[in-house]
Amino acid sequence: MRLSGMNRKQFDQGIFYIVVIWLLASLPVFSKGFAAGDGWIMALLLLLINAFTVGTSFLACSRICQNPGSSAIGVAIYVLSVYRFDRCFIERDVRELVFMAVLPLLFYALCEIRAGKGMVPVLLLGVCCLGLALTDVGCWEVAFVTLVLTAVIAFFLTGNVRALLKTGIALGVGAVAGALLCLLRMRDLENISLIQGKGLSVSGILVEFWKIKSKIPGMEEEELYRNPEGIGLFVLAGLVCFLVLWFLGHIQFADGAQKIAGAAAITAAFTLMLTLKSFPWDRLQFLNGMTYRMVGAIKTPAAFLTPVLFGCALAWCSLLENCRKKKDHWIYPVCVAVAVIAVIASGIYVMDVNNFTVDYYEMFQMQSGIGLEE
Amino acid sequence: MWSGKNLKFRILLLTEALIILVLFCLCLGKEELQCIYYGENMAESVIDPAGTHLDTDPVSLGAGVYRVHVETCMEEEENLGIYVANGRGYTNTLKANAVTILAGNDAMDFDFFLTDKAYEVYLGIDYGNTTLDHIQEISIWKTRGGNRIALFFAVLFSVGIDLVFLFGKRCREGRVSLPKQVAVVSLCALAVLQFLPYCNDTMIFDVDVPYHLLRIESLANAIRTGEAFPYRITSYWLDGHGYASSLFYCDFFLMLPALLRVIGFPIMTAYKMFLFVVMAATGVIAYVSFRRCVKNEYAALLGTAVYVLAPYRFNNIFIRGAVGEYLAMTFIPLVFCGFYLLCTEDVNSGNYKRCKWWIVFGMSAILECHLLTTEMVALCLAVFCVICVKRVLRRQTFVQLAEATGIVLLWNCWFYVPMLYMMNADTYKLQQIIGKNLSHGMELASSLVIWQNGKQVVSNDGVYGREPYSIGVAILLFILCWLLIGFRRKEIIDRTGIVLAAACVVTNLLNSNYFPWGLVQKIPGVGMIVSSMQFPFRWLGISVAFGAAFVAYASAKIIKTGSFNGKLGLVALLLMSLVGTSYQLSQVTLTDNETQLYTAANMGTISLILGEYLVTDELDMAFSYHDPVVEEPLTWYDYEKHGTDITLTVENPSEQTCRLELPLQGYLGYQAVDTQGNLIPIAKERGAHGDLTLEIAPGYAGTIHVTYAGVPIFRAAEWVTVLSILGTAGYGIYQSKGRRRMRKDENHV
Repeated sequence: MRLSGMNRKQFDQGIFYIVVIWLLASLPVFSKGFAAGDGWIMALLLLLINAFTVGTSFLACSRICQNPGSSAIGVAIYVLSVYRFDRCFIERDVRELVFMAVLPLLFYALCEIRAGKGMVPVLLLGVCCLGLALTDVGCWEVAFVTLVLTAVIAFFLTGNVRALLKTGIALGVGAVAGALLCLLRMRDLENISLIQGKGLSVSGILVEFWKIKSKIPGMEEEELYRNPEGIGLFVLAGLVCFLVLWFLGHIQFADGAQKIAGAAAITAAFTLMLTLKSFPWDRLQFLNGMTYRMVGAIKTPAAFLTPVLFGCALAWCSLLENCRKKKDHWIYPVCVAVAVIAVIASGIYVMDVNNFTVDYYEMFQMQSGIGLEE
Repeated sequence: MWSGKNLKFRILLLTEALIILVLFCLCLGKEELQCIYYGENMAESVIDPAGTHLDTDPVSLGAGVYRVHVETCMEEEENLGIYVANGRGYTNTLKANAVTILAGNDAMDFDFFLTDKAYEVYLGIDYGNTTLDHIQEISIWKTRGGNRIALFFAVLFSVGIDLVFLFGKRCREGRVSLPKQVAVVSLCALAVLQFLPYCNDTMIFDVDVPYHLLRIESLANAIRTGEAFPYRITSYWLDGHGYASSLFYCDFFLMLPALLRVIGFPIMTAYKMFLFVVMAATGVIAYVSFRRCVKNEYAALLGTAVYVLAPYRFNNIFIRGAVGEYLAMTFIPLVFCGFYLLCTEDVNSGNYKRCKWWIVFGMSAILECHLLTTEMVALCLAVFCVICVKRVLRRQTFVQLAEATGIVLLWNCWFYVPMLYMMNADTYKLQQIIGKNLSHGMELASSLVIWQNGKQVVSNDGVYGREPYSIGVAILLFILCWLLIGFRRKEIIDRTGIVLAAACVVTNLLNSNYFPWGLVQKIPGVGMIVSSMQFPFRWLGISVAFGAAFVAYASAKIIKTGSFNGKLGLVALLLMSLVGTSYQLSQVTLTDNETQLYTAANMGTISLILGEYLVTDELDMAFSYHDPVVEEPLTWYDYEKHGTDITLTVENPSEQTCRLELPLQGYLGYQAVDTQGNLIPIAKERGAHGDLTLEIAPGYAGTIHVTYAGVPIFRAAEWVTVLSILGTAGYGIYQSKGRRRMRKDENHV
């Protein structure tokens, strides 16, 4: 593993960053109300999933940039994102959280395949795809689209046919398994709905300082308190900067494996379009019965925000790594500052707002005696 | 020649040209009738006689822009509600709003938009306030608007792709310097960043926005119906009575969204596209101006960033909807840059005479955007002339300033001469408003708020819950740090920097409620001008410009010193500005940004804010579509109204003069002529809510044509503008040819 390639100091730093980010991401779990009653099982589960997500994303990010600090920033952008926060603490969607934890492993496997590391990464890719297909068909579809896109773009960037074939084999196995599960699980059309109307707007995606959906009865649907489904302005700024600098010839990749960051960035830009209201999901979904089920299984186009976020995280890592190498330049501290702001502005802010909202609700509940179900 | 990348580029160009050609061909052709419904048939098909709602038979329509034409014959107090709905089809395909048709508006059109095929489009008709017999016919027409929109986007994308392709190629070949690359990318990013809250299918429809949207729609309507140009009174307003908004509030720049409307875009989209152009232009103009002054790309970019990201500017754009003010802010840097150059450039250099053009273009543009900003900028220039009196009184500088003033006055004659003439010749609601005290002075603390609100939450004075009235705390903090560091490091502090910082702080203080505006208003002569500002916070627009100029100037000095701490300070300034902006824009996006306005007719025609340009003494808004109103026994027939033109035949069998009130707001400049060429007198005493009133002589019978002809002085002013622009252009071409000839001769020698 790449982590083992780090020197002792870097390894220690990496572990320190992982722990800090894990604690930050799990902060709401430690609130008094969270673990009350049977909530401790969910709390424990979320702690575990968070730890796993932080670990896998650090593994993938450190494959792109050797510096543990830059990798940690990438991890923080992914793990502390508002969208993940929403899935983790507001919706508590364990299936999507598992997908978020596994996705970095898939990218890591892609990097290793591109670096020619034998069959282990191919196996890893196949197993992860199977696992995802078993967990949730919608997540598996999102992962499949993301990986196919990334692998094809990476092929165009590197021209590595062998890597493409290996990826194809692994994805093929996953695809067959997923398709079978699709057929078995989605016979019933009643639970499948059109997803076009659940698409996001660009403004919403780029909101940096989110508000939280109110828990006060009667105010849940207030526009002021929407669920945070977005990636934030600064995170996207990193992706755009990376793509522009790459286009203008200012970004260099050390090896073929690192070009996965470039491929992931392009994939992120594309998948971002899939999340929008303006993407013609209806057209796809109405093609035939199969596509109706397949597209309906995604549930909401916002599901594609996960690969977008991880693509952005990898782009940030690559951007930071490139800036760091230009030692005389002061652009590196600027990038670090922007990335830290991105995390503080979106993830930490929304966490704080959530705490306030919860407190307010509790206070309201105490004063009025209104229960949750009311 | 036909190999490699050139070949690829040529193939790209050819493809683009072919696509554009095909789309252009599709734009040719007439509107196609899709379906027609007759009121009689609808009345017959009604099952429940007590019902008030009816849905028409659904039709299948493809993507495109459609026009609904409704003909009615409703009586007074009646009205009809119509909306378009889609029973079956893809999600969010239909873009339309409901429309209320008022009595008297016998033939009305409104549009709706389909982004994809819709299988069951029908019209919902609410006839609770009328009867179906009063509906003559309703028809749906497919216009060529959809094709024109496709052509427009094809041209736009083709140009965009080509420019990106060429720019990338030149960058990779090393033909564009790094600072220029950074500047181009940053300016694009800034434009997109500012537009963030409107990257969706909604808008904020509050404060002044409805009025400005009506201005756009009235212009578009004037273009479509071929009203007399330049537009002084457009007929769309006040239920067909016409309003002199164009006469008093220059519409020059609003022609862009009006043209987009004519192409076929929904009103909301046209406005948003215009807004994006303004945002991009503000960044480019500010950058070009600052770079010309400080001669450093990064410093100019920093100044531009704090200028375009100022909280007050976003307040103007998204919350107040102050179109004139944010448009004027686009051009303020040009004027100050021009003045700076005239004062600092070498008077003997060949380029010195060109410096005045910054002022000429800047002031002209501001004058055509917003009169109040023009007043404030002119006042600032006057103060600067006093501060830099020595330089201003140099012969060359003085001549250039005088020339600039003269050219601005000549070029803009067409607008301000008619405006001033009309202002003096008649009384308007505006004069009453001007007399009022200045209000809305801000708490000083509001200048120091980092996390600005999206909109006004509470209306009480104070900081909490107020709209963002601040130039951005980053600028003020930067001035403070600069002064503190400047005491120790004298090389970064100089007179220009101090003047700019002082101008920024002083104009910021003018916005506060500590400034004694009440006392200033009592000064004879000054009071009127000061009162016309309405709100002291308008000074923030000027303050931001000074602040940004200061940031650019001081940054250039700091960058020159090469200090790492200094650079770090600049980065901190930028980040602070960006973070504050992202918070504010997030608030704007999440708060009250919900209106989806596609059908312009949904707005009505009477969003006047305070009705400043109404001729009535009191704010009488009881406008309605109506026929001519006459005194007995005067009779009229063959009445036709197109825009502000009316033709009708009258007969006055009595032996006394009778009054004939026409559905037009009675501004000066209307002319009534009969078929024999005789002038029909216009009564000084206007009709109800200021309607134009004719005096029909005893025994008169004939056909009268009423039209807005303006006043002869309008024509004279228009000619002065045309001739002066042609004159200056000709003189410029003559001079540049002379310079070229001299250069040739020098080379030859």
